[in-house]
Amino acid sequence: MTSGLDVVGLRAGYGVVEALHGVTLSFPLGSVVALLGRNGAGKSTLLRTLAGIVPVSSGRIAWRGRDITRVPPDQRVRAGLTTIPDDPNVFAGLSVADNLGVFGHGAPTDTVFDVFPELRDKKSQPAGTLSGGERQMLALARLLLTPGEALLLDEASRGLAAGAIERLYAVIGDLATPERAIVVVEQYHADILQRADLVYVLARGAVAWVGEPGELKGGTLPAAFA
Amino acid sequence: MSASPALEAHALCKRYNDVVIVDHVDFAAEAGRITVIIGPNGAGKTTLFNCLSGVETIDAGNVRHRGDDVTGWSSDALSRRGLARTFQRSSVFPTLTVADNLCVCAENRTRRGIMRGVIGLSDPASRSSRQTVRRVLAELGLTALADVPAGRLPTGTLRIVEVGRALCANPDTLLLDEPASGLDDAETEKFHQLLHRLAGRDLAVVMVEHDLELVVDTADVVYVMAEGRIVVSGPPSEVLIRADVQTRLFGRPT
Amino acid sequence: MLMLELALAGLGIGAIAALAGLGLLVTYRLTGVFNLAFGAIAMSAAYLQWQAVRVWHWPVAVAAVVVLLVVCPLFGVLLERVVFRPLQRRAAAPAERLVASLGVFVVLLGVAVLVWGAQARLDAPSLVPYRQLPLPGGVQLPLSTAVDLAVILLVGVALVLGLRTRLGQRVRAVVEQRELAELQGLDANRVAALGWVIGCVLAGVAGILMAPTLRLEPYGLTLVMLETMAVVVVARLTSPFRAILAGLVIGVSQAELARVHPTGHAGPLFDTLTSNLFVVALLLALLIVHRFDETGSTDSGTTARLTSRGALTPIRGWWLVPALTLAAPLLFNAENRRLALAVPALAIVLVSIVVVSGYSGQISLGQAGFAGLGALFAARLAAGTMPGFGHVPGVAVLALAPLLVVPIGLLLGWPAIRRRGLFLALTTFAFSVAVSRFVFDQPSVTSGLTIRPPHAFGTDNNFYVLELLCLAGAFLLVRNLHNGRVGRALVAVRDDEPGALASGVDVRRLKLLVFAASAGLAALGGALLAMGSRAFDTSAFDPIRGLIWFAAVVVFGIDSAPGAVIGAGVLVALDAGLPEGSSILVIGVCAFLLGRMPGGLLHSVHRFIDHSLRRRGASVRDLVPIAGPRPARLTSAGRSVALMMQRRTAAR
Repeated sequence: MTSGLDVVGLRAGYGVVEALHGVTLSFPLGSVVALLGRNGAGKSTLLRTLAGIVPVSSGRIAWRGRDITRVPPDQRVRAGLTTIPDDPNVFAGLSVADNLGVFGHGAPTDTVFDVFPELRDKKSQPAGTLSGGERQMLALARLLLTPGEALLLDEASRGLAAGAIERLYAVIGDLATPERAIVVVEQYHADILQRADLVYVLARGAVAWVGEPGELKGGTLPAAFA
Repeated sequence: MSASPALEAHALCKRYNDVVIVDHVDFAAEAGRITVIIGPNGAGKTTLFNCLSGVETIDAGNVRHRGDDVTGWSSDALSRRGLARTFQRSSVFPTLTVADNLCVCAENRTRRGIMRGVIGLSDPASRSSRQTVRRVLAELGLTALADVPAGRLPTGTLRIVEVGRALCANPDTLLLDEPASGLDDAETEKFHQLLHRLAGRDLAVVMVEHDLELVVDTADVVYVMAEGRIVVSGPPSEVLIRADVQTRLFGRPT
Repeated sequence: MLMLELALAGLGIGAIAALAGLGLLVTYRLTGVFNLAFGAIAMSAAYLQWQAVRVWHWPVAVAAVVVLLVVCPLFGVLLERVVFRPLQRRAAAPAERLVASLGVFVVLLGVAVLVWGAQARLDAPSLVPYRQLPLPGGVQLPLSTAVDLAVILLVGVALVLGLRTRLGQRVRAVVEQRELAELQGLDANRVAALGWVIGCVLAGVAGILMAPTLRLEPYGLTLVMLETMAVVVVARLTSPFRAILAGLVIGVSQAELARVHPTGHAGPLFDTLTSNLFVVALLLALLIVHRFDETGSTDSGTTARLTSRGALTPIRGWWLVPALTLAAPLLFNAENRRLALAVPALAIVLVSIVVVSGYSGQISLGQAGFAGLGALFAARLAAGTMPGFGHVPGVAVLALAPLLVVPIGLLLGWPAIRRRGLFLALTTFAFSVAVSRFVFDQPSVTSGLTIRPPHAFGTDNNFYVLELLCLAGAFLLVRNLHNGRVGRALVAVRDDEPGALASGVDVRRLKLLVFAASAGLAALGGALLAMGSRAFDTSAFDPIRGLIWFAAVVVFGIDSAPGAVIGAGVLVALDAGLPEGSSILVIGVCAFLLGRMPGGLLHSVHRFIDHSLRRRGASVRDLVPIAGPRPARLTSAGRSVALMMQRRTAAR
């Protein structure tokens, strides 16, 4: 597998509280990786650290062979890392159209309304007045407008109704090309396991289990989950 | 079955500017039942919740709680009456500990005693408040986290704290807005059991939820909401198999 | 044609007000900071222009180009880099940003007084040659007013059009959610710097255009900006054209009304209202406007993130520091003890801010008004000239005066029920300005007032002990408000108001309570301040003084009552030991650097000690409960329905 996003011995956290205690994993190009684990396991922190928002206290992050451990978040985006954070995920005071303008850097937005027609009539409405699920759709518009070569999705299906989740996974399926690494943090195992090539399970700030989804399917999950 | 439902709404309407968000909704939740509202995103579920719980003002229609008209009541008054709720986006108090988060709700079940506190007298109900908090913490498995500031907890855990806070109001009616989103599997399972326990205690539980498995597993009554209206309601086994409901939930809206 | 000529003269004043207000509005839209320093930056630019033209004899145009296109932009970049970037990075509360801009204000003012002196200069160079433009109807419009109007229109149009461009979208995105903007690949630092550059250039333009019309004087020019807040409020912080219209209308009305001189009792009052029309307009606007369109996250205005609760291990015995601060003056010599009389009084005033802004998160910039009213009532009660009261003896004054101020606090608490953040901050500030202009500045109210300590506490030593007793009483009340049920409920309101309501907390009653308590405390402190100095000095309760007090409380830790005592000690000591005004400068510099010391000065010291005590921190490991083995997720019913659903969708 081609080298994509590689993480070695990563330690990070907030202030005095360390949330990742030396995590080593890799997200190869051409694969969809599911990042699972209990609440508080450090999944979101890992994603935020990869995006450059949470500072690294030790360890290394490399993207396609290049060390980006100390690169600021905006430059990571330009290098191809696209992060869709959990919350806040949209600019609440900006209209839906303006949000799309910022997300897409001015690219045409028709595709967004094809996939999420719920947003079509709300273009001029401030994003803050959308419902939780609609906000998530708006945030996901980035996948349709400016998807980078590494997609980091923090609970992308959160708050979405069943129909919208299917559309989301269809989009992710289209985006899964050999040049792209996709990382999906989810609680919803059954769905994501059908699409993932590789599964990491985090537990208490460390990697507890690595394997293919087949090994998880059907039976109970490894004890590391607890 | 008692004469009047725990919570009931009649011809409820809510507009923002000229957009109708909630459109003549009739709704009832019985004590001892789990009532779930499902529907596509933007259907107006959260706004309906906000109208029922006094967070938003209502443009038309009325709300009755245990048979009394509570239309236009503020949400703090409703909470003291026994109608408690949680929010879709966490509203815990980050600088308070988990126990204190719960305690705020437990000790404000009545307005009496606030002025006593200002002049330095102790709150007569403080012992019963503490007991309530301890009981709820134990019930939700939060005892170990009692002294942790809530701001340091992961979002999933915060949702449980918020449910705990609502329970401290000793409610007879509990409104939960997407309580299971962000919960991991183990927590969802525990939460599922909790819901049944609460219903067994004759609480009226009302939920907005997207996780259909949880809905099927827990709901006694399902309301399907779309474009501000209640499309259909009834037991899940009847409602969920209807073709029009499936289109609403899974089909692409046009 | 008298009316029309007056209207044109008013247009000149209105244009200046509109220019200042518009600049403030644009800066807010582009940076997310309500820049209290806008006037100070304008004043500094005007002085630089004066220095270049009058002292260095540069041509006016060259000087203007250098000041506006070199100095102002550089200052903007500096502000962003040093003051506001660290604040934005850690998503500091709006109160901190407000105070940081206040720091800039104070520092610039201090520097200007130091370099150019406090006296007014009448020879501010004018960019626009003095000429009258003849208008139809035989009246004339000064060219400068015409230029002002053109600039205003240009800025308004540029803002509206500019915010719609791609760059405008980006600027708004960065102001709104900096972190999310960075995740879109935007260089937030550069975008924010652009906002500050534009803001500072606008301030420079306003300053240079205004200086010839108004006098070039450090305080005057800076404070003009505070008066023009009405313009910004009418515009709800959003609409530039409303701001322009409001400025012009108020200016013209003021000029027209100045012609009218009613006789009799109403005369002086009417004149006061007319000459303070901008303050009247501000009050009216605050009553009428219901909502601001504030930038940034929805919780704007809470001071929650300033606080330190639970983050650090308490240091044992640290309360000894404030205790010793208070005990020390008992050992001072007579002269120093006289100076130290201000410490407990000021401490009570600062504690009143801790109560309202620290514990319950309501930004109140109006405490100077309450303190002044406390002092005024105390003086009049003691002299027996308070309407409705006879001569009130000795110590009873100290109990009665605060009680009389409490209803006024309730009155101000009323708007606070619905308002938060900047809106509330401006409302409280306007209250303080109004009290200062319409009460303290009225000779009939304040002239010839004397005040002295109650007879039994006539000596400085005894009075100091009385002050300590009052402070102890205040602390008792504060403790009740901070602990137990009331304290928890207040923090709940501060942290999350909808959550507090959902928990059954009667937020309305609580807010009224806290405003009333805080007003009473401030009044007590104010009365003691006046008694200690043996004079009712209106300048001691100036609205700007209230701003400085608020800044001091933020610097010393907004939710720390002992911090307020230390703060009072430091302020008084600095003023006693160093040239006058140095305490303000120190507070200014600290506020300036708030970005680098989250939670304030004392909290930063505390954190430093905490860090050196325990090197390795706690980990999330300690926080997550250990759970048993994980049960299977899908029940049979759930699985069958899921399958059923899948088949249905596949079939469609």
